Amino acid sequence: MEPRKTRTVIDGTIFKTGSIDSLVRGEVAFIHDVPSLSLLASLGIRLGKRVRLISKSVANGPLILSIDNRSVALDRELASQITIRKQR
Amino acid sequence: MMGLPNVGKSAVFNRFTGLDAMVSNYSGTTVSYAEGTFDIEGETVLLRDAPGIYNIKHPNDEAERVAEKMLDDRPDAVLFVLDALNLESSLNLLLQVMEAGIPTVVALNRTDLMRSRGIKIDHVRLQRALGVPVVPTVALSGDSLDLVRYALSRELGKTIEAVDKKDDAARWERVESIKRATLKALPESNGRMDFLIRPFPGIPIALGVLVLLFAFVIGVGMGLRQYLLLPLFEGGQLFGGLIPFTIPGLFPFIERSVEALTDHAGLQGVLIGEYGFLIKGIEWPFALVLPYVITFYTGISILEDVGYLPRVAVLLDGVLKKIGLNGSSIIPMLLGYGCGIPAIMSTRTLQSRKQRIMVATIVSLAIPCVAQMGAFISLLAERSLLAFIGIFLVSIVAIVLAGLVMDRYQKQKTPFTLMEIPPLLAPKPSILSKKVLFRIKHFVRDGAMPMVIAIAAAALLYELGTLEAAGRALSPVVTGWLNLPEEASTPLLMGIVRRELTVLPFIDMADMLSTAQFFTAALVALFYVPCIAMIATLSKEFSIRTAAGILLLTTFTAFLVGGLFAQLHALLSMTL
Repeated sequence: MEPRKTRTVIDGTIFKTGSIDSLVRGEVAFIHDVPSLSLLASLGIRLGKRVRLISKSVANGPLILSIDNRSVALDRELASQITIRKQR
Repeated sequence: MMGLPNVGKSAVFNRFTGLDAMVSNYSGTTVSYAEGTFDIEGETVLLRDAPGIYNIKHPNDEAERVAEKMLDDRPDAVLFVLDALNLESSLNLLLQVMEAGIPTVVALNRTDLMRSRGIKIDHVRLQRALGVPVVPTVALSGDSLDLVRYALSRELGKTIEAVDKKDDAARWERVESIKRATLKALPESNGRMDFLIRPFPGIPIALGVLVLLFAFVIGVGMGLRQYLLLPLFEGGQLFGGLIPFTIPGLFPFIERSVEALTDHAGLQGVLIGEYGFLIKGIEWPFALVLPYVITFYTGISILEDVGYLPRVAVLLDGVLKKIGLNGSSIIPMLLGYGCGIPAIMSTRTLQSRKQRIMVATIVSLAIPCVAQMGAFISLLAERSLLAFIGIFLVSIVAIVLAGLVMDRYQKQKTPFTLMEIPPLLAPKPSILSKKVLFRIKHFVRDGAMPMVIAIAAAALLYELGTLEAAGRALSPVVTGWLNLPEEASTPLLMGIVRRELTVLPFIDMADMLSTAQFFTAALVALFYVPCIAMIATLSKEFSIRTAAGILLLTTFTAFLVGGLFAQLHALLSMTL
């Protein structure tokens, strides 16, 4: 298991969680925890949303995510504050 | 009229008002609001096109404040443009707007794209859930805008009970429930075009596209000039003899006419002499600069409408962060290669003042506008291709250095990147040609006309001997430091009006100057004063102090870099 990933228990179910920037290209996950920022919410980065990592830009550039058919570029610093889980 | 960024509000606005708000496929094309009127059942209605926003509850940028202010002005009705491709965020904004208690009509826009992507939205249910009229539209082709007009006529003047305000979580819950009730199908995107935003092959493709853009601008521009405009103005065969018909040309005709009308040497000088404005006033703006204006705006408008530029921004974001900029600054900088004024205006979409000033400074200092680029091509490319490429390299080095230096001295942190990448769209020829024509018209009105006037003034001052006197005053700098002939001070004076006027007069000094002197002149011109209109824009957008600072910086850099090159070259050629 990657070092950044941990386990979280909600209502008796065990989730593997990790920071969103631990995703690899093409991987799908669900938003588990996200800072309350109105623009994040408007771009579809909200609790429980299904995201797919399209790519990671070079030189520590943004992550590019696909959420509900939209492509969103997300800063690495911000990404490190967002956790995802593998199961819905 | 309100809605998310990049959903076609400006297109709807243009349809209704017959005006020409700029339409592009990326967020933030409308940075302030446009205003226009149209008729609803015999009554004239004022329509305001708000900039696209995601929220009004937590205004954190200029566009959101502008939009919030528009709601505070209590309009008679809100026309909400709802993006069918992006139901969720649209609904979230719509619910915020409806909390203001103003009659609202919803135009469910981009239904054509919605259908082609297999997305299905039940607009009748949507109307029921929202309690306001919902009209499906395709703004770019004007479908069903009459229905919107009709719906508006019924809503205007209604009184609406104030809606209780919700907190963000509750609003998103309502958004989700409306979405579940109305969105019938949302197929997963196939990701076929994702390779464009992956570093490989995305970055090589982006560099290739930019090289192609400039090759197109320069190559096709030179062709237009050589085969179409020069024969028209100077006489000769169109298209290099493809059409076997020789045109007498405009300039020989003008020269003969002036010579026939007057023998007064001074008057002849003003009209057809050194800076004779009937010749230079037509040749410089229309034969030397216009071709590149046409090709640049054709190329950049295609990239804009396809939605490719935000992809370049995202790919290069990490790299640009290293010099204190971010990916989004690519768009104003690219626009700067067209004209500095729209470039400076479009910095409004950048998140912080630091970014805005940095990009505006870079555009003023190191990015030649299309008119100036046309002048460089005429001056250098035909003489020494190496010198022309050299100027471009110097410009790029200057952009990086300016970024690094300013980043060091500005305490503010570069804001984080968080942006939506618009869907790729095939450009519509009718919209594209309208946009290119609009921009060319803009160049003729705001670029070519001041140029003609400046040339006329120069012609007059030249005949009066004033230019010579000014040249003598500047000669210690011009001849002593820059190693240029005294005549070179004239273009420096004219360059204050228009950037390319620093370059163009040197073309007529071809016989007097060495290639090194040409290069010195081009260096000075590259960094020299941005034109009067740009200085005015800078002081309007920022402050007179900022504009004065940029003016000093550019002038100082121009003489420093130009002089250093001239002195170094002189030193080297002496020792060699």
